[in-house]
Amino acid sequence: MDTVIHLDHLVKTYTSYGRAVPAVRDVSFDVERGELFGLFGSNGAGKSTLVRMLATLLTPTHGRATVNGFDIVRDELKVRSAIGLVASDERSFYGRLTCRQNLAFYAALQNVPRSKIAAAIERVLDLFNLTAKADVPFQSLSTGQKQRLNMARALVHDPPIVFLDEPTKSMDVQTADFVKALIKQELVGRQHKTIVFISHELYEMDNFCDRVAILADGQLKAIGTPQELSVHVPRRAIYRIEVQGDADRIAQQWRALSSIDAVTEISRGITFTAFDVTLNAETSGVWLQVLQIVGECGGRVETYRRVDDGSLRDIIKHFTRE
Amino acid sequence: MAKLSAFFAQGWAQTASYRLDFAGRYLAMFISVLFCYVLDQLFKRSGVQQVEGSSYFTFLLIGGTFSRYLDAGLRTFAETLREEMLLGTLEPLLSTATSTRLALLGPALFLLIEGTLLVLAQLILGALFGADFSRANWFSAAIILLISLIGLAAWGIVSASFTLVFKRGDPVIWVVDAVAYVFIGVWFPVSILPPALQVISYLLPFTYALHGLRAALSSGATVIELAADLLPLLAFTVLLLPIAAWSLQSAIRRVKRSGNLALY
Repeated sequence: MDTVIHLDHLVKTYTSYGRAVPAVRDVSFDVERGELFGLFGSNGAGKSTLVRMLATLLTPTHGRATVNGFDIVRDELKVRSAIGLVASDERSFYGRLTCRQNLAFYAALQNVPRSKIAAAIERVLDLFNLTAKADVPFQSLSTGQKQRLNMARALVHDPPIVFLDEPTKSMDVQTADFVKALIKQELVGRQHKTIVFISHELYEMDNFCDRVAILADGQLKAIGTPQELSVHVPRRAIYRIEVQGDADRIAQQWRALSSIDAVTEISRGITFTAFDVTLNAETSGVWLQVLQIVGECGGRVETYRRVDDGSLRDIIKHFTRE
Repeated sequence: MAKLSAFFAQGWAQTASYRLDFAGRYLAMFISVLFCYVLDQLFKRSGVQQVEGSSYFTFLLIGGTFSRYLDAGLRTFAETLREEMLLGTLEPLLSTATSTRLALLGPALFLLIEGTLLVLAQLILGALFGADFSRANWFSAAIILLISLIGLAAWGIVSASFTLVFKRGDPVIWVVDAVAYVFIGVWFPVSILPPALQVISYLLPFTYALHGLRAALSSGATVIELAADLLPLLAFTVLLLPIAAWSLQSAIRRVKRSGNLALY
């Protein structure tokens, strides 16, 4: 694999009223070319500080990092040529200039040759469904359109690496889905760009990122694919079980088991009653007990299926809990 | 060059989009010339015909024009920088493949060029009102203005450095506001100040710039004849340039360390 982002014991400490405030503490990891890499953490976890260091907007206190092979302190301009940055502040344009004028300005500053600026602008406007808004002043756009233009700006010079700091913030669900599909299918899938996707929303990352780094209190708590991370989590499992027979008695006896955390009745029909049963350990012994109780109560298990998906939510909760 | 032209085009589009403000600047220039003219008429009634070898109107016009130039040169960098901070465009600018220094100072380019054009327009308008430039040495005037612009830009960069770090409150502007207009001879010759106060005048580079500009435009002084003004002006400018470069570099280093680059 080809590493495009390399962090080596990166530290950022701010000073506030003479007091040292650590924002990023000794973070090291690599991002490979063509990866859709998620950086997750709650507010104040250090995500934006980390990205601003990688985008050369902040100087690290200690440690070093390279982006596209260039040192973020010594080779600032080369790093900036290789990246696109979508900051979470969507208002960061000249409000009275049109989308086209704004993009032309940033394209020139990103070294896009003058003869190619018009085509580059058309390309990104088309990508983000903003062609009809090309000659509209930025301040007339809706919040979601502004955020899409923000992404278009980050891509106008066709950089190999893009940092997206909460890119779907302020977007409605449909637009956010459109943008996420665009990132995954077009930018990563077709154009093979490396994307660092930053979010404090868990649902944003699930079934989306190839790998996820979890930051909490400035520290890297975990990194890996959602599957790799899930191995470390002591798993609970929730099963939806439909039973025939004396449902109340079955539920009461299940609740008495130490291996069962919760039993919730979901629906009660003429024949079947459905329960969600939360097991605190998923072993064959536990299952045997669950089934045995149904039999002892003269009932029968009609269907069962797992209803939690071992999602990133559980994984992240595990790694970030205090 | 492509980036400079991008900054110019952006500045023009941005400035022209505020039509009333744009027109207001030219109207203010007209009123300023009219003010000089009326003041000249008033002084003529008191028997004042000439000041430092030219009509008082010409004297005032050059002084007023230079003060406009001074104002633009000193404030533009800091003001445009602050505007970028407020608009939220500073961080996107600084994350482009443009040197940090150019990204910070580039947004002022259009206003600086426009300021220079306004100076010329004000002088031309003054000539229509009767200012006497019949003996002007335009080459000498251009040299003085060029060196002044470099010196003013250096002051302006120091001022912008303060803005970058402290966001508001700029001692460079305070000092200039407080002393420049009194001591450099915008409205009256420095020679009428008490000798003790004249010392302050001659510690300010703008005094030499304005004196030299008047000599070039009113008396047609050549570059050689302007040596007494040009040399101190040049010395101040040469001294200020490294200070400006150092202050900007220090400010950038500081805000990148502190993390308050885009804050306002």
